[in-house]
Amino acid sequence: MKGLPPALRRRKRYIAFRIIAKRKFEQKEVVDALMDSLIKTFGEFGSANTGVWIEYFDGERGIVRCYNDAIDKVKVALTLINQIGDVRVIPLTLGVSGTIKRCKKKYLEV
Amino acid sequence: MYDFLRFVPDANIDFGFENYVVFAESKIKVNKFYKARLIKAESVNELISKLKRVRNDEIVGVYSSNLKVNREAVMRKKVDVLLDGVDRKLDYKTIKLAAEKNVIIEICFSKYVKANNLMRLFEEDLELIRIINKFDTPFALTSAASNCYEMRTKKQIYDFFSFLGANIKSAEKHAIKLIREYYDPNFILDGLEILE
Repeated sequence: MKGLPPALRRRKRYIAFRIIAKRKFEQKEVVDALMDSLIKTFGEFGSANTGVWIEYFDGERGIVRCYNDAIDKVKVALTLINQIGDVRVIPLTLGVSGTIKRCKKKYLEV
Repeated sequence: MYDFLRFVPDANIDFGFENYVVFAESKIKVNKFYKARLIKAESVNELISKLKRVRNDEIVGVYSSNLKVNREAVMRKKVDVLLDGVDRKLDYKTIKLAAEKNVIIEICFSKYVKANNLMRLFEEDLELIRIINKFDTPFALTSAASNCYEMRTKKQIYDFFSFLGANIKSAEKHAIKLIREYYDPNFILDGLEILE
């Protein structure tokens, strides 16, 4: 929701990840896979309060945004992804940070 | 920390483990990794006959979907680990017995990648971890991967199982102890060490 006072804004975290596979992926494919995994694991209601979105993805490495209190759920969902489309993948969580800038600098070396 | 696998991995990707323990039924070349014997049995007689052929100086892991076999395996001196999979069956008594006999119960991640029904797996593992915490049963958190796509980093596996309530430090301690028991010449017994 837009226009919330600072005290009511949710705290966010940024998870850096890497997808190892035989080919590179589009951001939309990864978003679909992550959402599917979240809903399959925690259900629609459980996934509702996670605030998940992919902020950055270059085909292999990326950053997922989520709320601070949903970080464990998102990590579990990310770990449980085993294929994107028809391609088998290894999703690796690289680390968690409080800002996109720091996340990129620390884990993605961009 | 060590990961238990069912294949010989490629060393290209760093998953954050110190080394790997490769469980295999037949003799294989494991290069720099630790080798362990995998025994698959569907009846108690089969288990006993296979255990007779095992040497005393190798790590032995038993995998069975039969509850009776798992209970018998826990009581055998040669068995070190009860391996995990999609259809492994354990009950309260077996877990309690494993704590007494010092047999490690493996809880693996790869079954979550293989299986379709995650709900049942989550339910079983939550209950298993609850009983393990009650009796302080030795256990190990592993990937138990049979190919590279089932492997995850050490941190991912720990995060996943700590979400289910597992005590990570305890799991780490038991895996290290198992390796030291077989591969560290200074290891004698729990709490004893040769200094000079």
